[in-house]
Amino acid sequence: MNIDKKINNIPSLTWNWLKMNSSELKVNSELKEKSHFSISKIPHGVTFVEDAEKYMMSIAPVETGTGKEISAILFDNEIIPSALIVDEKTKVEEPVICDFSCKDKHYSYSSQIIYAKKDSEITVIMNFSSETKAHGLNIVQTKLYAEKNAKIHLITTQTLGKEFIHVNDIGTLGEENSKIEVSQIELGSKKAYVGVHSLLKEYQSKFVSNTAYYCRDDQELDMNYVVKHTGRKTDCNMKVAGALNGNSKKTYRGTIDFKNGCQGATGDEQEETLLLSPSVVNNSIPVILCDEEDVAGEHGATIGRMSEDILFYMKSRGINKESAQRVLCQAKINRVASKIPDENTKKMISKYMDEVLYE
Amino acid sequence: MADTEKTQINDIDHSMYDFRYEETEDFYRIKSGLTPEIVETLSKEKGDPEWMKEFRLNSLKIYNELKVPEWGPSIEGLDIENIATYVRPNTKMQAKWEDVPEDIKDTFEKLGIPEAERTSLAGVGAQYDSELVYHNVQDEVAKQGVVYMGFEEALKSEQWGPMVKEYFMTLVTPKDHKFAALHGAVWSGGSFVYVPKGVHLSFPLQSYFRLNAKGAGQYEHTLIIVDEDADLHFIEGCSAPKYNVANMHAGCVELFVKKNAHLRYSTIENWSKNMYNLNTKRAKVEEGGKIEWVSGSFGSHVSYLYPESDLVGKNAHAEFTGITFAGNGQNLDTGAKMVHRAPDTTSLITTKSISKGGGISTYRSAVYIDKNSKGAKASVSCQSLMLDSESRSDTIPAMTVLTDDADVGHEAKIGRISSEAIFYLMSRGIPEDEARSMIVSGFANPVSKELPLEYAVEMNNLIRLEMKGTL
Repeated sequence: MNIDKKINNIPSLTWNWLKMNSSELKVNSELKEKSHFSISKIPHGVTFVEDAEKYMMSIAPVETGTGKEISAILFDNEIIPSALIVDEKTKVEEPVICDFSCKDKHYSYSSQIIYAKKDSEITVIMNFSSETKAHGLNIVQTKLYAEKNAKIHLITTQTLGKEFIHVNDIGTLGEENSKIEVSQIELGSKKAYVGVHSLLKEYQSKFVSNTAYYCRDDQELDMNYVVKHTGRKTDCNMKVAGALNGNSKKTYRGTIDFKNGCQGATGDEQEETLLLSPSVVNNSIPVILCDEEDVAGEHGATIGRMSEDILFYMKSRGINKESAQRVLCQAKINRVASKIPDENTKKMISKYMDEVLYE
Repeated sequence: MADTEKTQINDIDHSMYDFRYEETEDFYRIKSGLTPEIVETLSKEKGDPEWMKEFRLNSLKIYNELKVPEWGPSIEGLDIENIATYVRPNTKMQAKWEDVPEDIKDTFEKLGIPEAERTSLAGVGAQYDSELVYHNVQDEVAKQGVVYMGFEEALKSEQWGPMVKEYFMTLVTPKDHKFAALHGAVWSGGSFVYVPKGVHLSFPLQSYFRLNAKGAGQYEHTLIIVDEDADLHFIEGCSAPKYNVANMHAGCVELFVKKNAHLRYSTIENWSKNMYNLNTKRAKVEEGGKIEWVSGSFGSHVSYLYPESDLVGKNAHAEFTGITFAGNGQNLDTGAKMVHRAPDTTSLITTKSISKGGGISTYRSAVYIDKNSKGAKASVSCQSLMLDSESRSDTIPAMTVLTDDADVGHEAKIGRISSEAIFYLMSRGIPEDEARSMIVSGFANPVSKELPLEYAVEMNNLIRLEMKGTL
C-alpha cells in the first residue's frame, strides 16, 4: 500500500519556508488486512444504518478538515459509510460508544455519518486504540449533520500504538440554532492527523471544539481546524491545549472564516502549548479571515515552558519540578476528559496518562 | 451656535501626492522589459565595477528561475515587459538645493522635504525615479564621522566601496524570493549610511523616494551600518503620482545593527494606487543591539511588505509597530518577521489595520525561535478594524518554536466599531459620524504616536487618516 497525499491544507496560504501550508501523509507498508469497529447498544430513538449510501447525498455539502484527498482514498477503496440517525425530538442520555480496536499490522478505513434530526440530542464517543507496540494505519472520516435545534457532541480519544498512523477527518454542518461540539484527546500513535471543518450555515448555529494532547518521544501531531461562518449570529469557540515532550512535533492550524453576510457572527480560538523538552517543535498558525464588518473575532496563543510562578507555587507546597509538570500535563487532558459522559472511557484515559507520564 | 464641523472617515487623500511633471527630452529611459542586454546596458550606464555587473546578471538568472509567490495578493496586473527598470532624470546628484532642477525641486518642495531638513533633520537624501538628485548631511554630523551618501557614490568610493561589497545583498540575498532577485539585477540609487562606534545622532537622517515616471520601476538600495554602541534614527518616505498603468517598487533595505547599537527605522509609504509595492527590508541585530521599525502603509495598489529582524546576538531586541490603511482598490499585505537565533533575544510586534471602501488588508507575520534561543521572549498583538462590509481584513500569524526555554504570546482581534461606544459618545452630544472618526483615531493612536513628528507635512496628513470631510 502506498499513499502520498497532501492533507490538512490551510485555507489561506503563507510563506512556504514555514512548512505550515499543508502536511504530507506518506504511507508505504505491507498492511493488507482490514480491521473494524464495534458499537455499543443502540439507544431508543437512534437507528444504526450499516450501509448508509442513501444518506450520502444529504450530507454531500459537509466538507471535512483534512481535505478532499482523504475522501478520494475512501472513494477509491469503495468505503460506504455507516450512519447513526437520531429521530426528531429524541434526547439520547447515554452516549453511543464506538470502539476502534486496531490490530497490529492491520489497516482500516471507515466512514461514519451522525445525523441528528430536529430538536434531537446525541453524544457519540469514538475510542481509537491498539496495543502499545502495534503498527498500522487507521483512517476515519466522520460527518456530522445537525438539523434545526439539534445538538451533537462527538468525543474522540486516540491511544493507538507507537507505530500507528492515524487520520481523523471530521466535517460538520449545522442548521438554525443547532450546536455541534467536538472534543478530542490525542495521546497515541506515531503520526496523528486531525482535520475538522465546520460550516455554520444557518442562523445562530454554533460550533465548539475542545482538544487536548500530550506528545512525547518522536510523535507528530498535525491539526487543521476550519470554521466557516455564513449564517447570521453564528458562533464558534475553539480551544486547543496540550504539552510537548521528548522530540515530539506539533502543528496547529486554526482558521475562523467570516464570510460576507454572516452579520453578528462571533468566533474565538485559543491555544496553549506547554513545552517540556529542548528538542520539541511547535508550529502554530491561528488565522482569522474576515469578509464581513459586523463580526467579532479573536484569537490568542501562549507557547512556552512552565512559568516560574507556577513552579515556585508548586515547590512551596513540596511538589518537585517533574511532579509539577506531570500535574500540568494531566490537567490539560482532564479539561477535556472531564466532559466525557462515560466512566470507562475516563478511566482508560486516566490509566493511559499515568502510564505515559511515569514511563 | 457655531457651525459644527461634520466629519466622516474617508479614504486616505492621495491627491496632494498626485501632482506630476512630464519627462522631458533630457530624461533617459531604458527600454521596457528585462533581458540580459537591458541589465548590461543599465550596468554600463551606471559605471558599475565588474563584480557588480556579474552580480546583476547572476541575479537576473535567479529571477528567471524563481516563481511568483503562491500566497498573497494577485500581481497579475504587473507585467515586467511593460516596466522601464531605469529612468534617469535630467540632473546629476547635487549637494546644494539650489542646483536641483526647478521641476524636481518643486516636487520635493511640495512634499515638504527642504523644510523638514532645515528644521529637524541631520541629513537628507532625495531620489527622483532611478537616481538620487540631492544628498546633504549637516557639517556637525559629518564631523562625527557619520557617512550618509548616495549608494552608488559609496560603491565607487575607495574608502567605502570595500564595505559596500562586503555587505551588499548578504542579508537579503537574490535567492530570497523573485523580487529580491529582480532588485539584485536592476537596483539603482538609494542611500549608504555608516554611523561609527559610539556616535549618537540627536536628529534623524531622512531619505525620500519619489517615482514620477509612468510605467516605471524604482529599485533603490538602502544599506545602513550602525556600529557598536551607536544610535541612529532613519526616516524613509515614498510617494508617486497616480497613472493608469502599473508602476513597480522593489526596493531593498539592509540594516546592520552592531553590538549594543540602536536603530529606529521609520517609514511612511504612500505610493499611488497604481503601484505594486514589492519591497524587502531586513535587519541583522547583534549582541545587545536594538532595532525598532515604525511603519505606516497607506498607499499602493498591492503591497507585500514584511520587515524582518534577525536577532543573532545575545540580548538583541526588535520591535515592530505598524499601521495599514487599505481603501478602495487597495490590497495591502503587510506585517513583520521576527527570527530569534540567539539566547535571551526579545521581540514585540504591535499592528493595527483598517479596511474601508472595498480595501483588503492582510496582517501576515512569522515569529521563529530556533534551538539556540534559550530564554527568548516574543509577543504579538494585532488588531483589525472593518469599516464596512465591502472591505476585507485577514490575519495570518505563524509561530515556530524549537526550544522549550521560550515564551511566545499572541493575541489578535478583528471587528467593527462598537455600537455601544458610538452610543456612549452620541449620548454626550457628539454626532455619530464624528464619534466614528474619534474611535478610529483612537484605534490608530497607539501606533501613530510612534511615528516621527519630524515628518511634518506628509505625516500629519497621513497619521490622522484624513478623516475630516463634509457630509
